[in-house]
Amino acid sequence: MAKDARAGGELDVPGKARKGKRDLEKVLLLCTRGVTHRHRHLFQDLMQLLPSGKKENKLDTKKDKDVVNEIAELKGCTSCILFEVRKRMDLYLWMAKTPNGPSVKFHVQNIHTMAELKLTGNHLKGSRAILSFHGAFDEQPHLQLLKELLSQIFGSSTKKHQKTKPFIDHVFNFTLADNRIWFRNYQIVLSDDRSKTNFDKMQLVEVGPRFVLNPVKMFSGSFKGQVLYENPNYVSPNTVRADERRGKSSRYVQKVKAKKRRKIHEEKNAKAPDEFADLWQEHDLSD
Amino acid sequence: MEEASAYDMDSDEELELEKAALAMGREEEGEVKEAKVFTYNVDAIHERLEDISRVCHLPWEDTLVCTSSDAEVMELSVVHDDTERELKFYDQASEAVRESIEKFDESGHKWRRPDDYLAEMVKSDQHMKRVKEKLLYEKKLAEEQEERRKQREAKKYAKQVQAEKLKERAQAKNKQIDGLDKWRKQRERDGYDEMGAEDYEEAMATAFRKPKQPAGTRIFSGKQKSKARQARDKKFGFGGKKKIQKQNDATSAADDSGWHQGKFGKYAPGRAKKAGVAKKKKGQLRPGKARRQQMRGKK
Repeated sequence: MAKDARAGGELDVPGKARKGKRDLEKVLLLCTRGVTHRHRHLFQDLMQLLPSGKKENKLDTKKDKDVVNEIAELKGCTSCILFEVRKRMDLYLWMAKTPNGPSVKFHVQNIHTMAELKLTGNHLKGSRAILSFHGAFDEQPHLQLLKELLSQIFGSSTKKHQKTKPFIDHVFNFTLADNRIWFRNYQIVLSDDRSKTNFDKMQLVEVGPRFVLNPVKMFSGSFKGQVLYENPNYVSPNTVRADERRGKSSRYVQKVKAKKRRKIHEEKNAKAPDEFADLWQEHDLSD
Repeated sequence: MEEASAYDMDSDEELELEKAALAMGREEEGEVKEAKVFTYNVDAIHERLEDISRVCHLPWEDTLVCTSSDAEVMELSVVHDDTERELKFYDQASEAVRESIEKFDESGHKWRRPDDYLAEMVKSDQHMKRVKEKLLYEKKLAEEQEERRKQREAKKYAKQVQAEKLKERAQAKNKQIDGLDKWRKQRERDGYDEMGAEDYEEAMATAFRKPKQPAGTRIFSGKQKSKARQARDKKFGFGGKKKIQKQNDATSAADDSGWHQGKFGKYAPGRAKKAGVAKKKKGQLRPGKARRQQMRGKK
């Protein structure tokens, strides 16, 4: 299918001219108010990693996301990454193709930013990244759509961007595991011999950031429209916390129950009065 | 959990309570699950995908999208094991890198950064310095730990060697005693024949001869006494009785070779010879105070 499409695209001359403009991907990056330090760091990391990224002021509203489309249009962006933070702890990441969609809402977990010292790699700012996708991305329709979205947003697609440098020294890795998308960014370290690439000596050193995207919902429009997909495995962090609390409270309930049970038991099996209880007392007195 | 905690209770009230609790839990879960229908609109997804798809229309050099051949769903045990999971990610990434580099090399495109191309990196130099420091620190810690472990093991080994040595000594002693007993019995059997005076010497020699140590078993043979130990041995003696040795007897009391008149005083030997001190003849004494003042006045 891919081959046919490419062949078609090359033959179709007017289409190609139109596509040239469409190819220029610009990604609007913005977040809502209430981000924590960790989310802010992740946001900055993404700014660093995407040469096509455009930063915008924090969004005040969380309800009306249609504003984002307008901002994107003003900025001339074709796609958008929105950090939506709830309760100052849960990060939801929206990825959208503006203005017509589709859009995805992810819940972000396991965030490790580039500032962490255990991630020792480093690479050029603005160099192009290889996008490595897990094979499972081709197997289900919603995953195919996700792959297309991710590769458009994270791909440093052309050399047309001013900030893009035509070198390759890192790889973005998207793996599907546990129904979530795990993101890793590795630096490619090669031996010094430039004439021939020695793969035995090739090494990947992690640069960061790390995060896990759990898709929640997909919409046909950007931040609106018909729901395309809903994740049946998704459990809201609110529910998780509530369950945890319930677990703790049930411990208390059980404790109370056990006490009550003990009381009833003691009442039923009351101790018979000991007939020898005051035997020695009497004996002592008689002395 | 409810069943586990409910022992053999026959209180009606208790049973009712638990039933109610269970029912409540079921209600809460059941209602949500039954009500929820998860949307999966495959047709619409395909439609949207066709609308926006661009990656497959572009030449690979423009997108750099690689898809791994491994489409297997990762097992949960692997997902929860940090090392194994990261290894899977690494493998996938390195496969993609290899594939794309091969493609680039084939097409003859330049893709590597020249050595003299210096530009801003994703992480600042300052940050990388901190990273390096941390790595060095961790290395140091690991080395120290290794050193400690080695020392601990050496100590253990030395202890074992010492125990072995003590055992050997005890064995040798027993052997000597046995030898003596044997010799006594022999004499008894011989009727205490006195002509065996040489035999006696010989027997003693055999009984008290140190057992021959096999080569290479002596551990501390090459060790020398430290200087401090040697000095102390010289000063205080080593082994044997010390009390009597240090008492005077007639000869030592009469020996005055070590005596001299004052060690540090003006009559100390060698004192007069020292440069810078005015020479004094033997009989010359210091004049009295009045005379000295008089002399001063004259000058």
